[in-house]
Amino acid sequence: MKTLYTRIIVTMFLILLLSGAISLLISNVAYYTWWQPSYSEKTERVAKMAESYVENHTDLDYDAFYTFLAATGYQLVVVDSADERRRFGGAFRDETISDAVIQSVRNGAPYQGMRDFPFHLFLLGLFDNELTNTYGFTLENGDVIFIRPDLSAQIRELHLFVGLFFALVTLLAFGLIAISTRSLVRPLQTLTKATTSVAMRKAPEHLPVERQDEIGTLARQFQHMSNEIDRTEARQRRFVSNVSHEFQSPLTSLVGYAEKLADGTKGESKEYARVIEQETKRLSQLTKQLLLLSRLDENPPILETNVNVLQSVSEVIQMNAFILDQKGIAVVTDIPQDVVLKSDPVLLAQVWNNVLVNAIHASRDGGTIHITCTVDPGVVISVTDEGIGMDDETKEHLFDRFYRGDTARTSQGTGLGLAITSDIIDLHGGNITVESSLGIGTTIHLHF
Amino acid sequence: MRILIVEDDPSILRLVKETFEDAGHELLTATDGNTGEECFTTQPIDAAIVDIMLPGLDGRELCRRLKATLDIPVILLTALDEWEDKRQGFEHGADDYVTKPFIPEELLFRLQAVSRRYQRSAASQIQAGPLRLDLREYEVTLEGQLFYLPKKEFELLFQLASFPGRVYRREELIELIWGFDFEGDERTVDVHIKRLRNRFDHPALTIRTVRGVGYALEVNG
Repeated sequence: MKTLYTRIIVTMFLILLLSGAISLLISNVAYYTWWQPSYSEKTERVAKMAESYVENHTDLDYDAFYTFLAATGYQLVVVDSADERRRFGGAFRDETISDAVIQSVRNGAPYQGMRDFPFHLFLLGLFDNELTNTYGFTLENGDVIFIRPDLSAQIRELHLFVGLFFALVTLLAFGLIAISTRSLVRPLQTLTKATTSVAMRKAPEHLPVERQDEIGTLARQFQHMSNEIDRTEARQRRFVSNVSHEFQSPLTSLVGYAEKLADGTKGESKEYARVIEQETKRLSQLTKQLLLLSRLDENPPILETNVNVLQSVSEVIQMNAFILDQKGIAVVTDIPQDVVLKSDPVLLAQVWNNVLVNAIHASRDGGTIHITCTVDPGVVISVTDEGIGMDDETKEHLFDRFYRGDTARTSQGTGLGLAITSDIIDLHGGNITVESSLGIGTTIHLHF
Repeated sequence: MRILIVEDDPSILRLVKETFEDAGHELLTATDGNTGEECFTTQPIDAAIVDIMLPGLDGRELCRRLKATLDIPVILLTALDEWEDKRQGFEHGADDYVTKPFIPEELLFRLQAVSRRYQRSAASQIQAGPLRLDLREYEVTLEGQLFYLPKKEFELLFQLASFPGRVYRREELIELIWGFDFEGDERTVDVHIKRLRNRFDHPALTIRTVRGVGYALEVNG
């Protein structure tokens, strides 16, 4: 899991580890340089006191003395003149010591094992519980004594205290790092979500614009960018809408007056007026479809609205109610009420409309168009007309842009309708199949 | 009906005005949004047609104010087949929208359909055997299938289904459905009956011809 979150946690962990190691190293050097000798001196003082005590008490019970010394918080190994070793106080981790050392102490040179304890990178000499890490001296009776403070007896509680302290510091640091990292990463996740919504052309939500830090700045800039995108898109939409409006209004008049002209005249003039009417309608249709195509190319639509098929189809039928009524064509739908497609309502309506308009054009007066829908396994919507049907050549070129069947060329259609339809169905990952026989009719199956 | 139309293109206005007046409606016209608003606040109207893109007060806003004041059908005129427009239009209370270019007859047809919904309550449905007819939406339901019939066919079927078994004379049907001033002949009825028979091929439904008299809808079972 290469998330920023884990990266920060791991980095923090490494930082903690590294700073711990470096600190330990430096403190070790400090201990070795300054405090190890002074610590050793303390033990040496005790040894000196022991020596003078022994001098002043001639009939001393040495064993009791050693036991007492150990009880005051020291651990010691006593080597008597017969080289017999006895230990008083806590055990050493390592009790080896060379005979040369013992001999040298016996000869009167104190052993400075504590003061001269070699430097270890990460190990504090203070704690190294070895026999070599002791102060050695000899007493009047010839016993050689190696002594060091018994830390577990002296400062066990302090030891535990410090241990607990560091464990808690580390643990808490981790917990807090984990929590604070989460709060560091969260705005990034929010911003990521926001970019996704902007990509889907939705307003970004919960941006941390209130923050006064870099993230706040980023959020504000992001909000600004998103607003700009919205504005640009709105301007574009408005422009398309305006252009369309400016085109369609005069075309409406043209169609309307041509129709009136056709109604009021006879013979060739009537024919001409009809041609004007039809060509104007086609021009209008062409304008709209080209605008739609350009928009499809520029902004790939987001197909994530749940569109109810029955409702959407019904609306399209209502839109065509007038021409259906004029031609006496009935539309029969057999669509389950709960079929829903994830799509864009505008585009889906465009699909139904294009297929329905084709079916209307192909139908004879008084015909019936069936729109059925099957759901298993995928949604398939089939539009069947009882119209003129198509030959194989027409079928082949059905989805080519600007192709119009011979029979249709004289009347209506831009040749873009089915091309657009198939583009839109492609966007849905579906496909279109056609069944048609001349004189019997055509069925268009839209597979989603 | 007194209909207000707000449209900034004078050619379209004239076209619509002529057609609507021929159909016996009275038309109030306005060429910008503000005048349009003045019209409906000062005079009684029964329906309104509003272009979406208007100088002055925007068509959608005008529609919203209209619907807030009056309970009448409103149709929006738009240049795009875009549902975006339509959705917005519906949000502003429009009952329908008609896309340019339209012919005035289509606008009239759509206005009549919308007005019908205002005149009839939602309960305007009749049942005849397996058939259910919705007089508001002009829809017929038969075993899960929804039929959108041409207007006259629906009215004919509705008439027959209102009293199943009753024999209607052809002249009677023409009078009831096409009106007194209908200029076609009784063959028109036959054509529509034939189409209805083709469309409703169902064992429980028969449109019976009573020779020399007329037609009756028989509901079996």
